[in-house]
Amino acid sequence: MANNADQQLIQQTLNGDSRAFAQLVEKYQEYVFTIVIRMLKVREEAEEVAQDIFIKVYESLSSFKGESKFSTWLYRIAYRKALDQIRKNKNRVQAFELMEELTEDKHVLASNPSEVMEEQERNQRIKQCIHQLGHTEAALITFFYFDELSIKEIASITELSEDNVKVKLHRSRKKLYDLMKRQAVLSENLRNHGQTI
Amino acid sequence: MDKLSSREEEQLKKAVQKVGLEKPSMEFTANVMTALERKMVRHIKPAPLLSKKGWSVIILVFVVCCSLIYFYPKEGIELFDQVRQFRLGFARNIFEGVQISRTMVFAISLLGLFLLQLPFLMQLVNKQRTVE
Repeated sequence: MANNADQQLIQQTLNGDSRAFAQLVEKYQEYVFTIVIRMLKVREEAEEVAQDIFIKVYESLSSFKGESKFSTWLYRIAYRKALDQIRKNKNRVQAFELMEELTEDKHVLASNPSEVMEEQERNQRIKQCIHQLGHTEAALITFFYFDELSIKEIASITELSEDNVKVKLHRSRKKLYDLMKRQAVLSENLRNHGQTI
Repeated sequence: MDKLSSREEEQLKKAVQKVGLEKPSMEFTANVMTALERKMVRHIKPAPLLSKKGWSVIILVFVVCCSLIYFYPKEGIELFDQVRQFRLGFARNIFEGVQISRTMVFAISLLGLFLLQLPFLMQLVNKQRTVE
């Protein structure tokens, strides 16, 4: 169903209807932005790269043959672009700025006692844990949990073998679990959701 | 490395999914569409008034006509005769009595040089525009 809707929007875009492409951007911008920001760790840079990704997608749309899902094809472009940016970007200052930003956020949020703020603080701590993963690990976690892609699809996006994806994903999950445990995110999570498990 | 138990796996999944997706700025789609429009405008090349094919046909017709007139100037055919007369008299008569100062010669030469350079300059400007 989603595939048909995407295919229709792609066809309309290829026929010159730019509004159809805007709909595709609206639909996938959060997924693409999440992948990129998890890999690059810097919001402003991630936004720029995400924009470049959609421009690249527009330019290459005629080469999309529909052999895979549009989302898989799009994520492959996003993953490669983010990797290219990481290779280009050797600036350590940005990583330092990010750590500062996260620490500042933590202080602000921790000082607010309300329940909503507590929830936000918990989410912020989970984000910090994801930020501490390497770029490939963060991308794998995002593909696996946010868009619930299969191992086969993740392998196709990252151009890794399925076995390699399985191993890396297992390690990433274990690492993230340990980080969250250390940040005491999971214990609170257990308190809230433990009954349903 | 120990495997996560299904309970730990479930905890992790819930915690990660709880965070949700990251949201780009509100103007994200508008920015992408503006960037695309700008890019498309930059890629529009000025179309020539006459296509290559059109120019070829015109040049071919011109060359054929000139050749016919030059190689077959049959006497008795009024048009060809007139053209032949004109051709013979043209070079002799047209510049008769015309005096051109040295400054004028320089000016004409420089204008000619400029006209020769014009296509190259236009190519250069177009290239610079596409790089921007």
